[in-house]
Amino acid sequence: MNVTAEELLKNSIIPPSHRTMGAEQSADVEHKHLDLGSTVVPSPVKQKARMDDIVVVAQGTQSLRNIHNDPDVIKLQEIPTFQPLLKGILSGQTSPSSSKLEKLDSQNVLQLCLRYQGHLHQCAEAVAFDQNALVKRIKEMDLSVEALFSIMQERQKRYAKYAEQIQKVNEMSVTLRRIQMGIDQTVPLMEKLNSLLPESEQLEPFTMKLEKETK
Amino acid sequence: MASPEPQPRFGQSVKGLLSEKVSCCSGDVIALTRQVLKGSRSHELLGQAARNMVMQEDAILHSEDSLRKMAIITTHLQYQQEAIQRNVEHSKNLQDQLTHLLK
Repeated sequence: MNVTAEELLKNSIIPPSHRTMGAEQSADVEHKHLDLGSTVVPSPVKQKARMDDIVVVAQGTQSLRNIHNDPDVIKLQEIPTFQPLLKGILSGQTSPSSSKLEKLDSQNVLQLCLRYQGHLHQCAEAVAFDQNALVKRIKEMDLSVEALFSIMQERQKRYAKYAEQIQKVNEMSVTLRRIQMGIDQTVPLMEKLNSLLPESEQLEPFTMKLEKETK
Repeated sequence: MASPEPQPRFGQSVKGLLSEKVSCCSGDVIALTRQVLKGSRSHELLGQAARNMVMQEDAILHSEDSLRKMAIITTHLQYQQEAIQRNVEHSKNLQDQLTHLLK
């Protein structure tokens, strides 16, 4: 029956303190709950209310806990308060209090950027200056190396000529040695021959002399 | 910095709005840094310096080549110097040899 279903639902869903609602409201609530009930409890209308179906909301029997001793609660309280990231947009509101969102101060940001730009410029200039100085030094080095190289090449050519001429000394000594050897070999033979000749035709003993007149 | 007002798009969650704002901000920051770098002309200056350096590479190679040749020349000079020294010493003996021969 409808009455029993209504009573059942009233007892279970609506807490006892709310039974003093206005007639209209209660009727609305009942209708709503009836709709709910029609989907939730598809039982036949003639079901009687049993003791098991009645749910009573009463005061709890738990003792009051001292919340300030709980370490978790203390930790929660230690969390600092903060503003939401997107200020001015409160969830649930159709239009925020002021359409202005949090923005940076443009002038200061501009100054910061300009300072950074100037810093970069100075650094780049310093580096470029040093590089150009290096380039100049390289050019100078190249010129001096070329000059040195040409000097050394000239010197090497001259000394090659000198050395070649000095080598003649060596050749001369070789020739002289050969002459000496030849003379040493031939002079005894000549003397021998000379001794075999009759005394009237003997030549004077052989000596090497400097000829002063070569005519 | 154009930040699109999120009010008209209230169908999205706050998380969506936040991510959109973040991406917008990061894009703006990237554009700002690019402008700062361009304004400081550091790229141009450093590029010019690098180009100058590269042009000197040829000169550097030439110098290195010359230095290597100079090293070879020094060895030649060393040989010649030794030869000259030896022969100069020998010239004294030569004098004696000559006098001995002419005796």
